[in-house]
Amino acid sequence: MGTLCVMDTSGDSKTIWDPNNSDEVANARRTFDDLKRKGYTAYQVREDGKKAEIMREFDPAAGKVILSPAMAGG
Amino acid sequence: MWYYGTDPGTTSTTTWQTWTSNTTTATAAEVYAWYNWSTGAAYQPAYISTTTDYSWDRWNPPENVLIRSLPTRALREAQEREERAAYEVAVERKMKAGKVAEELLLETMTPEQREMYEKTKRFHVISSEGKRFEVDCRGQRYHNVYELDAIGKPVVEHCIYQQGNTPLGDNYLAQKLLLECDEKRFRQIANQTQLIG
Repeated sequence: MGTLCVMDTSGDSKTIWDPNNSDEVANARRTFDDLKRKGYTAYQVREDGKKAEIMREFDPAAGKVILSPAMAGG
Repeated sequence: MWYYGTDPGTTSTTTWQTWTSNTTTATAAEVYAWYNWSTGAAYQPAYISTTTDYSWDRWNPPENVLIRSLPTRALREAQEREERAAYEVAVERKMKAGKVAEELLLETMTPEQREMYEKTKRFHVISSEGKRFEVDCRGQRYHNVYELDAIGKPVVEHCIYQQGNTPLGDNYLAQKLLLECDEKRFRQIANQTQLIG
């Protein structure tokens, strides 16, 4: 199973997909692409804080993905 | 004046004149009765500043405002109750969002980071370029990321934050992830302040 965690005012909103379910994968990919276009950065994260990676494209086998709104300098 | 007469039902300047002209028990039956009353040192109300016939006219409206405002007050109190309830819901929602964000932050930490965070509300991050940073999670949204030197002393403060009014936990996680994955991009976005001493 894959999980897309989209950071928002509620903490985060989750989209879960089964890599073997094409409809769920398509839905997760659509959310991923929409938010990337809006300036979000996608990170593939691993258990126990092992080094994350920036994702340029959606990967159904990514596992856990965090989408963060854009950053700004203070 | 309500104590001695009935509600005149008007706020015009003739109220006092009518009352003093028609009453049979008043000792003064002229318009100057009010003038004398309002200028008499022993009885002059402190809040009446005028000494003209219009004193009554000025004194009268606040009484009417008081009487007319009773339904308005009830309405205002109802509005205040609604606003208070909405505020409490918003506070509860914000607290819940803060917990959700903190859970996500903790899930993405190494055991060492988690231990330090739970003890000090700070944690260290090794950046993609191999440098050590400290993220201060004690409540600031920005001015909270410090670059550390070889002995762990803060040498540069980085000011960078997550847009979108997200909870603080999300903000700290975004700082952490960007540092871990792309320190160069982090430096391009953040404003830096060299720390002296």
